[in-house]
Amino acid sequence: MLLRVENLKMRFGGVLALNNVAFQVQAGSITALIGPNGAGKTTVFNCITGFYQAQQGQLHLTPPNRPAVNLIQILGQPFTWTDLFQPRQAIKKWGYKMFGGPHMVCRAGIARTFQNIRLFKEMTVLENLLVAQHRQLNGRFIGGLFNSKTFCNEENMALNRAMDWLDFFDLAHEANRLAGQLPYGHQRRVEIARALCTNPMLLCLDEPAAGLNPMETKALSQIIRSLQKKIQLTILLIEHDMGLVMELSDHIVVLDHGEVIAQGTPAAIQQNPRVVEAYLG
Amino acid sequence: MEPSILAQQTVNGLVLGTSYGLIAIGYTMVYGIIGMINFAHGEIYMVSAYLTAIFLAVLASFGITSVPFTLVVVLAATICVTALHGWFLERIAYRPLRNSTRLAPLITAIGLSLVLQNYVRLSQGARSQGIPTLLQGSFAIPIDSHGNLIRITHVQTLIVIVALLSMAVLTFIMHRTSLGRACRATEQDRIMASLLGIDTDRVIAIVFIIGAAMAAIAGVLVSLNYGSFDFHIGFVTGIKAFTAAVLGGIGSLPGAMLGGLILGLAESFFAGFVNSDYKDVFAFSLLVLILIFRPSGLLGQPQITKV
Repeated sequence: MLLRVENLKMRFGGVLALNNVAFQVQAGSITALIGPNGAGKTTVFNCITGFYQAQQGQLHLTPPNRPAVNLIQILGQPFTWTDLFQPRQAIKKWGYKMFGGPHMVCRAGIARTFQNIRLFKEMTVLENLLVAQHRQLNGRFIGGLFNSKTFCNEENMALNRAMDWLDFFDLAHEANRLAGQLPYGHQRRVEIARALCTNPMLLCLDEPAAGLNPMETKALSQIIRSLQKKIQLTILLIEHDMGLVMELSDHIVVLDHGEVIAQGTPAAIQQNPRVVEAYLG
Repeated sequence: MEPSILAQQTVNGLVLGTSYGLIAIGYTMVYGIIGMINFAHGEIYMVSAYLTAIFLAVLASFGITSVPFTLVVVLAATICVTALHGWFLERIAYRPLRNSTRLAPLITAIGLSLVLQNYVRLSQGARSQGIPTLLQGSFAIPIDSHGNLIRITHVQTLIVIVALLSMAVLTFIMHRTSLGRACRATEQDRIMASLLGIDTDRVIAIVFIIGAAMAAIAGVLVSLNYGSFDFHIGFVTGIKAFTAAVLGGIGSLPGAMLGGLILGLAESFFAGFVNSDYKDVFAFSLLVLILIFRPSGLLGQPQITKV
């Protein structure tokens, strides 16, 4: 098990967007999050990736060969009066408040793409992929200034890694174009490639097939499959294309009105009366 | 129009312009990265002028007289301490307001500018301060057969060389290093950058530090050139550098340098040929005209609102 979501609660004013959402993502699996519009799928994603701070609940990431991480904690929790009696805890909280944030979630091993593409449009495709490796590069300022040997080596390694991913996505010929100028389908692939450059354990894809034609969708599903096989990546995806979801996923979680109404294998979900009801109204 | 005056005013204008350009970098980088005009930036420049005097006095008290050594040490020390001021301002005044309304940090900036002025006034006194001329002498270049010449002092040469050098270094950092890439990514989409593992708070702090360091370079060099300053100089210089940043296109690094040069030249020609009392009025009229006719500046791109 890679990610454990427990009792996740999120409220926007009077709207209860998420109510006790709980599910698990197995390591190496493809898990799909589905549900009608407004069910809270993207909100779950936003909580997991640190875009929002969940108001209640637990998010535990337990990667096989890295230390376990409490995602709620590293985003910086608010202080409560009980902290007065647990100074150690309070200091830790303060530390995360000072230095925590969404970047820590990414460093813990979660990467995401967006429903509406968020590439750095004024930068080239290659630069987009290099930015994602900022953390691994740990670019020392002075070294960069004087072009030291370690700096050059690191930079070359980053370049190679970026070019490998571009090759994988069949985009190597676009490397030096501005990301904003690429056709829509290519931008989607660049966004996935960029997420992969952060070296994640868990890749969260928010409607990766939105706006793609049937052929591109097919290519996408092959890419997702081969990612799972090639680097044992765990994938969590939101998708409306049921054909793609049923074909790809090992496990499906169905959300409606902020609650999990069903979860299980694709075959079981197709038979589930509550799911059918939610979709047909 | 006397050609010798024209040539002399060109030299003066270029020197003035490079110093405006250096300060304008601070405005333009901060605006680029968090979309805020840091009106306290002029005061950072003023603080650096005082620090120059303090470090010169410290070195003199140790009996050090070597000019190159003094210059390097004063420059380095002033840059460090001024950068610390820049970092501190960001940390205590702007970071807590990061996700509030756009107006809040702007008002804070104006408040900070008053705080800094009075902090200097209380600690250093309200009277105008002076520093000794460190570098004496000048080049005299004859420009015609009548014996007319233009005079370029060594300090002026130093200003132009150091300013161009630091701008080149900065351009290199922004375009060739991983830090520069992170800065540009944060500038375009801060949230996305943080989701890719970039500590955006740190990047923003670094931008403030770079801006303050550039202002410090200008502060040291201009103080060496003019020799006197008071706790008030930050205001007018700051507004002029802001004009330069807007003229070049706020948010654009080469724009800040170009805007500084154009403003410096325009101001010095106006002072030389029309009226030196009204040169500030001229500079600010220029700001008004730019805002009317080309709000995005010379090198800026017109903003297209995203939907």
